[in-house]
Amino acid sequence: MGIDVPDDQYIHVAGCDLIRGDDGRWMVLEDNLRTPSGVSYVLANRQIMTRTLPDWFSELGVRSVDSYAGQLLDNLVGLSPRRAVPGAAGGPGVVVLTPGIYNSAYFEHAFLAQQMGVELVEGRDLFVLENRVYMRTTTGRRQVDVIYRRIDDEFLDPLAFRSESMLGVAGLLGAVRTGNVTLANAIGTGVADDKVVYRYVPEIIRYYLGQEPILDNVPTYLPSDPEHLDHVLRNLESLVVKQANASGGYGMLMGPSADEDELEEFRSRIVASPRDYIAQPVIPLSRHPTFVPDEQGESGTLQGRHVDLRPYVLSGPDGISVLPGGLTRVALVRGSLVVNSSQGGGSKDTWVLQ
Amino acid sequence: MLSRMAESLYWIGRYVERAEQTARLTEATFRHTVVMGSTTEAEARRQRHWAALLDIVGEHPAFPPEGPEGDEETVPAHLIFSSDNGNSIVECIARARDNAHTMRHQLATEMWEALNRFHLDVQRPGRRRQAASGAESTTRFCRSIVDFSQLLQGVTDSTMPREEGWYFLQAGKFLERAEWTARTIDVNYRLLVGANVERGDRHALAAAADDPQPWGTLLRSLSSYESYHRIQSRGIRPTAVIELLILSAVLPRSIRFSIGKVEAALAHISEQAPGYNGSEPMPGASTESEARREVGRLHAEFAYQRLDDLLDQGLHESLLDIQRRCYRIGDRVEDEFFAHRPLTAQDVMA
Repeated sequence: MGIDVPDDQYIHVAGCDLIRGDDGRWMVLEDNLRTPSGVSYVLANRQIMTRTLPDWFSELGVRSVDSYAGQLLDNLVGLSPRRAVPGAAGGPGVVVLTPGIYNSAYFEHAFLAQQMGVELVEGRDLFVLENRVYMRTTTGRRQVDVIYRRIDDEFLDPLAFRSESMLGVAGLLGAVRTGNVTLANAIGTGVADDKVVYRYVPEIIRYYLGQEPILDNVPTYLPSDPEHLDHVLRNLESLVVKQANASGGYGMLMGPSADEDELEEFRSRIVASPRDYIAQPVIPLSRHPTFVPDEQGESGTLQGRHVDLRPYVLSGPDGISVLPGGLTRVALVRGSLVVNSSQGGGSKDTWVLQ
Repeated sequence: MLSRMAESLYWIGRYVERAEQTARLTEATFRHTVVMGSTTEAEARRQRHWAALLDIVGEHPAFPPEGPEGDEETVPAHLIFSSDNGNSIVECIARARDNAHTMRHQLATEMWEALNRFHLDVQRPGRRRQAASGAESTTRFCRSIVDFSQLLQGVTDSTMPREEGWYFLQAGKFLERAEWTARTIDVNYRLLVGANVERGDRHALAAAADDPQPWGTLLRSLSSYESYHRIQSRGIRPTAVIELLILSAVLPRSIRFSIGKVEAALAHISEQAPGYNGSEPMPGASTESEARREVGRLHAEFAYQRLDDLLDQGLHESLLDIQRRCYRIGDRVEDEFFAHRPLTAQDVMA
C-alpha cells in the first residue's frame, strides 16, 4: 500500500489458536492478526481464580499474567512517532479505539483502556486536522500518536474505505500515511486471518525465514484447486468446511454431524465460489475435565469437553513476548468441537508453571 | 477528559435530578389532592393541579395523547412510565443509564450497579403494573425513586474522585435543579393566584395568603417544607415561600443556591485551562469561558437582589428570564466543553 510503518512492524498483538490432536501433536488451527480478542477473559478469569483458590497459586508456582496491560502499554508508547519530551506535559497520546457499547467485545476494550490508564475513544471523539489526529477533550484538542484499534480496516476511515462508516475517523489514513499516527495492528494485517492464506503460512515461513515451522498446520484443502475440489466434494461428510473470511464460528459446516440438506447446500456453495471456502479433516480436539451443572443447576459433575488454546503474543521494540497464560476455550456442549464464545463456548483460566 | 465523557456525566446529573424532581412533585400532588374532597368544585381544582404538573415538566402540548384533560390516573402514568414522554421517570433513568454505560470503565462499580439495577427494576412489566395500581402504590413508587436518587448520590459522593468529571456531574445536576425550581414556582404561582394576577403580583400574593395549604405543597414538592419552618418561624406566607425558594443562600433547592453550585463547578472545571495535559485550544474556540461569565453574573445578581426587585419586574417575567438564562448557560457549556461544533473551513485555514 506504500505506507511505511515504524520499525517495519505490522503486527503488535497476535493471538493464534492452537490445538492438540488425538496423537498428542500440537498444531496451529488459525491465525488472528487483525484484532484478536479475548485477553480480558484471561485476566478476569485469573482474578476470579486467585480469589477462589488463593493457596494453590503460590504452592504450584503459577506464573502471573498481570504484566499484560503494562507490556502492551509500553509497546504502544514505543510506537509513537513523537518522542516524549522530558518534563513536557502529556507525553505520547495513546488511545484504544472501540466501535462502541454495542460491540460484543466492548467489555474488553473498556477493560484494557482502564488497565492501561488510557482513553477509550469512539470514532466521533477523534478528528483529523492537517494529517494529525486529535481527540476532543474538555480543555481543547489533544494530539493522538498511537491508536490501538479494535475496529476492522474497512470501517477505519470513511474517506478511504467504506464511506457509510460512522465508526471511523475521516482522514485517518492520511495521518497514517504521513507517519503522524501509528495504528496497532497496522492496516491490512487482516489478510493473514484469511483461511486460504493460512494454508500457505508454512511455506511463507520456509521462504522468508529459511526455517521449518515449529508447529504444523492442520492439513487444509483449497477448493479453488481443482484436485482439492474433487476430494472435498466427495468426502464432505468427513470434513470441516470453513468460510475463508469468516470468524467466530460462523459460516461453518461440521461434516460428520450435518444432515443431507446441509451437505447439499455447502456443496453448491463451494462449487459456486470455491475461493471462499477451505476444508479440513475433523481433528478430535483434546479434552479437559469441565464442570457441567445438572438440570436443576444445584450441583453437577466433571465431564470431558473439547478445548483449544489461544496464547497472546506482543511484539514491541524490545522483541516478542508471549503471555505466560492464555485463553483456553471450551465447547460446553457435549461432543461439540466448536469452541467459539459466539457459539456458546466458555473459557478457562490457563496456568503456566515456573 | 474526553468531551464525550464529560457530556455523559453532565447528562447523568441532569436526568437523575429530573427523575427525582418528577417523583417528588407527583408524590406531593397526590398528598395535596386527596384531601380536597369530592364536590364538583373540588374535582375541577384537582384537575387543574394535575394539569399544572404537565406545565412544570413542559409536557402540556403533547398531552393528552387522546381523551380529555389529565387526571390523577393519566398524568402520573404519563410522567412516570410513558415512553412517549422523553422526560418520564423511566425514560430519564434509562438515558442516565445509557450515558453511564458508555463510560462504565471510568465509574465506580457500585455507582454503575446502582443505576443499572434500578433501571432494570423499573423496566419490569410487573413492577409497572404494580406501581400503577392506585394512588397508594404510585406514591410508594415515587418514594422509591427518591430513595434511589439519594442512594446513587450517596454512592457517588463516597466513591467519585473530586476531579473534572465530578464537577460536570454537579454542573448538570444543579443547572437542572435551578431550571426546575424556577418552572415549579412559576407554574404554581399562576395556578394559585388565579385571576388575581391581573391586579399585580403584590395584591395577588396577599390575596393568596388566605389559603396557605397549596403553598405548603409547593414547598413539599421541592422538599423544603421543614427547612421553611426552621428558617421562617411565622407560618406559611406566599411571599416568604417565594423569596426562600428563589433567593435563599442556604436552602439546597433554591435557585440562588443551585446557580451558586453551578458556578463553583464551572470554576473548578475552568481551572484546567487549555494546555492541560498537552492539549491545545480547539480551532476557532474563544479563550474566554462564556458559560462561566453567564453563570457568575446570574449568581452575583441573586446575591444582591430582594424579592421587591423581582416583583417590580413582574414575578412571571423574572422567572421566565431566569429560565432563559439557565438555558443559555447550558448551551454555552455544551459549546465550550463538549465540542459538538464541527470544524469549518475557516477553522482549518486559520
